[in-house]
This record gives sequence, structure tokens and C-alpha cells, in this order.
Amino acid sequence: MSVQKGAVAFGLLLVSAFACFGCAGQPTASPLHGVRFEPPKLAPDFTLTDQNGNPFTLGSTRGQVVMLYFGYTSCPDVCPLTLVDMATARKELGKDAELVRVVFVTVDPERDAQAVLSRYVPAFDESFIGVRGTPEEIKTVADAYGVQYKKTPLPNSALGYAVDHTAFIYVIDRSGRLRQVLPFGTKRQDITSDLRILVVEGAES
Amino acid sequence: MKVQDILSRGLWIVVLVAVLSACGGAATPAAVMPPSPAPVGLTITDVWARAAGGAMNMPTPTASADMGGMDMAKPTSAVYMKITGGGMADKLIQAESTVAETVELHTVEMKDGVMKMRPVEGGIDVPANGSVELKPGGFHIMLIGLKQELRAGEKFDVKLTFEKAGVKQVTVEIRSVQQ
Repeated sequence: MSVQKGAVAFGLLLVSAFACFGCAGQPTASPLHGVRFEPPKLAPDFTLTDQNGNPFTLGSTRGQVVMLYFGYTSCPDVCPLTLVDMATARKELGKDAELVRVVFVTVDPERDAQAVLSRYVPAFDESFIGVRGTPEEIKTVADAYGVQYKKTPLPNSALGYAVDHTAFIYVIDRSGRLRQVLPFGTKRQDITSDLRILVVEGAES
Repeated sequence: MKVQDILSRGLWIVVLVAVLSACGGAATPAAVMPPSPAPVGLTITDVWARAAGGAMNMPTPTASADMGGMDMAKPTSAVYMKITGGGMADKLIQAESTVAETVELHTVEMKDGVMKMRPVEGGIDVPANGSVELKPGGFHIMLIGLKQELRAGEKFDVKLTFEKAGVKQVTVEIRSVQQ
């Protein structure tokens, strides 16, 4: 499937999912709070490099619930806020927290060097994994998830450029299936509640 | 109708008498209310920033570990607050602090799930007798290139410049990222 088609299909999925919020009492009502993938599909696998310089393969997290987020460390607001939400939700699970992984993929690999990721990502939660790769590798992964991102020059800012990006949390279940996206602003307790459901669900062998 | 007329006139008379007697009682100048109270100035509350690492915490990158990040991302943070306007509309036009190389006013727009952060053009409006909130996912004062670590529980100062109210110094409380 081409990149554009993937993005379009993803867009349609979102539109239909949002449209369904209007129809209360539908039998498809789910206790999950995000925009669901119906039917769930296997989360596209990838291998990138983590903040310690080691290869990280998404598939290695099978058996755990994964919250996958695309962002960049110069983002002062939405990204850290989302990371704090994920850290808090994870902690609220108590001992089940170990069944939840958070993976942060930088969409600004040029500036988010390994040293930057190793300073930034574990500060939110020591278990968090920050991954990067070449711009081409990042593009492939982002496209696979329908993540949009774009460097936007900011001539009047010391930042130089911002990276506009999709600010969803992609939630992958313990069987490695993409179940839902949580839009920015999803309440912490809703994230926690969804994690509990997916942890209890277990993994299909 | 007549009864109502009489009643409403009567009410006016009562009010008039009340006002007159109030004035009459105010023989000493100290008891006289000023005709138009001086406009209450801006108030700035709930000023906080997210804890973040400073430049000194950055490990030295090595050529092998770094895949092309010559111009590495600088540590950033954001300052939030609530600004309540006084009697007239005002505008926050600048912020300064010694904790960062650069301080800018930014905003975040969310469109179709895509987050866009932009510098604010022309300042942040503070409505007269209303308030504007600098909060996550919206307006914020962005600290770019932190010169020191912002540790939770500690404080630092930010100088705000308003178009009309002039310069106001506020103390920022640093809050943990691990809440």
C-alpha cells in the first residue's frame, strides 16, 4: 500500500470512528476511550535505535501493552504533557505497570541525537524507551502508522524549526495488535482504565 | 396601573432619600467613596513550569553514537500562568528569564490530530476584566536552551512585559514531570 493510500485509509477510519461517537447505544460500544481500529490489525513492526544505542524492535514487546508516541524533544508542551500522562497512567497500574511499555519515536532525528533522547525520555519514567533512526527510517515507520509530520521553519524563533506532528498515542495490545489511538487531551484516568482492560485481556497465543 | 406608578415613584423616592442620607452622613472626606475607583491592575496567578534538564546534564555526544545530530536539540521547558486583566485590555508582549538562552511566547494549535507549535505574533491578549490562561496545549512561555536544570520544587523568576501595565516580575514554581 502506498504511503498516501495508507494515510487516506487511516483518515477515513478516524472520520468513521468519530462519526460513531454520535450514535449512542450502538452495540459496538467499547469500554475503551480512544478511536478504535475495527478490526484491530497487527501493529507494523519496526527496528530503530534506542537511547542507549541498542537496536529496539517493536515485536520484542509482544505480551505487553504498548503505548507508541511520535514526537520530538524540542516540543515543550504537548509531547512532555503526553509523556507525563503515560507515565502517570502506567504507575497507577501498580505491579501490572511492568506489562506496559511506552515507546517514544522522535520525528526530529537530526536534532534528537542519542544523547538527547537518553537525557529526555527516561526522565519521565525509567522504563520509557526513546528511539531514533535515519530520517528515511523514521519516515518509513511514521508512514506505516499514518503519522503525519513536517518540518516547519520558524524564522522568528530560536528553535529554527518546529516539527508539526500527529499527537496521538497508538495503543497496541498484548497480542501486538493496534487497537486504538488516544487523541491529545485524553483524560489520564481514561488512559489508565484502558490500560487495565488491555492488561487483563492478556495475549492471544 | 396607577398603583404601580405610585409604587415605582415611591421606590424612587426611597432610593433618593437613601442616597441623600448617605451623602449627608458623609460629612468627613475620609468616608466619601472615590467617584471612580482606580482600575485594579493585572493579576498573575498559578505560575509554574515543567521540570527539565539543563545543558550541563547533557552527555557529550560521540561521533559514533550520534547519527547526524550536529545541531542537537537544546533542553526546553514551558512556563504557564493565569493572567487576569484589569480595567482595560492589555497584551503580554515579551518574557525574559536568566534560566534560558532564549524566551519566546508560543502557542499550540491542534488540527486533525496534528500538533503545530508557533511563536505568537504580536503578543498574548489579556481582556479587560477577563483572563487568559497560559496552559498546556495552548499559550505558553517557551524556554529554549536551558542554562540550568529546572528542578521540581525550586523557583526562578520571569520578567513579563505588558503593553500597558509595563514590566511585572513573577516567580515560577517548578513542578515535577513525574506527577
